[in-house]
Formats: sequence, structure tokens, C-alpha cells
Amino acid sequence: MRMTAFEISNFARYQRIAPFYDLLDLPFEYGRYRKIRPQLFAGLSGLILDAGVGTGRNFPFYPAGARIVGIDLSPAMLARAARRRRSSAAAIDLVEMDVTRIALPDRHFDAAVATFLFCVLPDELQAPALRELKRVTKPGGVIRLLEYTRPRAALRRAVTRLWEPWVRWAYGAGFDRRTEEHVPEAGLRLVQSRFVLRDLIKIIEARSAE
Amino acid sequence: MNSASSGDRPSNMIDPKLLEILVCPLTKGPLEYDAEKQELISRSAKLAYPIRDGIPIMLPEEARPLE
Repeated sequence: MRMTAFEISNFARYQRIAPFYDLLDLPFEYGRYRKIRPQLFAGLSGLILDAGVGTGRNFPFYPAGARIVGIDLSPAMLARAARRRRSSAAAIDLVEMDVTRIALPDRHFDAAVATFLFCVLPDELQAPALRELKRVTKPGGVIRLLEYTRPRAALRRAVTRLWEPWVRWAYGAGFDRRTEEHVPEAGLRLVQSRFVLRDLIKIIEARSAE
Repeated sequence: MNSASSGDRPSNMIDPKLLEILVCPLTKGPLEYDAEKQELISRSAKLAYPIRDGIPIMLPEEARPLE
């Protein structure tokens, strides 16, 4: 088994930026994400998978008493997350794995969340990743994604395009993914897709059949 | 900035509850824990997945093939 070109390039990229990731993201974190992340966990409890846990930016927002398994492809990001574990009211385990080949059992989690993960996954991996999230989630369990989208407004699009090439280099993220279209392809039902920050960031919620 | 002193448990320790739930990412079959070598062994895939700094590396390309 070998890493795909995508995995290698993304892996190398996150290894490269891991020491600076929190700095790179700081203006965004304080301006935007901190108000949005709590919405990702609203109403969730029990066993929760955090796919693409990164440096652990969701830690302060985990529901108290929840048990979290955080997974990521980058050991450098996980090492930073491990140092941040105490910032959470939840119990957290960290494991390095690929979201398209999750090393966890069927129907294990009450819910699965992913934060800005699907905006970095290429189109051909979107359905396989969603299928894996479906497999490890209990029937009827919630799968909730927080994602960037390409802004619709022409003016903002022009502004965004100015920094998009840099963002692409730094994060490997493109904002033109059509994750919702892959939801039925993975055998999931789209429950909601709504913008939580202007037309830039949305929450996508899917469920498997009960 | 010391990972061993700031975590909930020493960085080389792994939560037994986590070991109970992990499966092989390829076969989804069970794993055996080798505490001495710090490896998780998948007999069905004939691979040994390493544990580094208390973090299991569940990637087939990082695993050691078993003879």
C-alpha cells in the first residue's frame, strides 16, 4: 500500500505548516471560528469521532462528558493536539489514520464531525470518506461537517480569489467542493445544509437510515 | 512546552480502552497489542502498526509487514 499523490502532497504540506498553523489561522480563529464551532457540537453527546482533528482547535467546544476519538493524517498536527488535551471537558484519544480507511469498528460512534476536512479532500475521495463516517456511526447517528464554500457574491468572490492561491498553498484547500452532492452517493440522507457565516462557511448535516 | 508533563497521561502510555476499539484499517479485523514493541498486530492483514509517542499510526504504508 502506498500513499496517493494527494496524500503525499497534503501530508507534506501539513507537516510543513504544523508549527505555524495556529499563527496562520489566528485572525480567522478569533474573528470567525470561535462563534461557529459550538454550533457544530450542539446537541451531541456520547462517543464522537472528530475526523481531521488537526491541532485540536475543537477541543474547548467538545460537550462535557463526551468521549472523543480524534483522527488526522498528520503526526505533526496530532503532536500539537496531544499537548492541548487538557483544554477540553471531554476525554480525548488521538490516532493517526486516513478518513477513507478508518481503523474503528462499525456502528461505534453516536456522532461524527469534521471541521474543514471535506474542503481539502479531492472530489474522488469525498464519497469514500463519507461512507467510512457512515460505517463507524450508529444507525441514525449524526454526521456534521463544517466547511468552507466558494462565496456566491461576485464582489466577495473577486476579493477571495486574491488570497485563495495562498490559502491553497498553505492548506491544500479549495472552496469549490460539492460535498452535499456526495452525501446520497454514500448512502446518507442530507438533513440540512446552512450557512453559518455569510456565504463562506456552512454546516452540512447528514444521517444514515435508522 | 513539554509534552510528557502537560498531557493527562505520560506520552508513551496508551489508553487500554482505545486499544479495545481499534481495528485494522484494511480488513477491519481485530488487533493484538504488543506492549514491548509498541505495535498493534493485524493477523488478517499480516501487518504491525506502530505506536509512536502514545499515538497509534493506523496507516498500512507505515506498518511493518509480518513474515
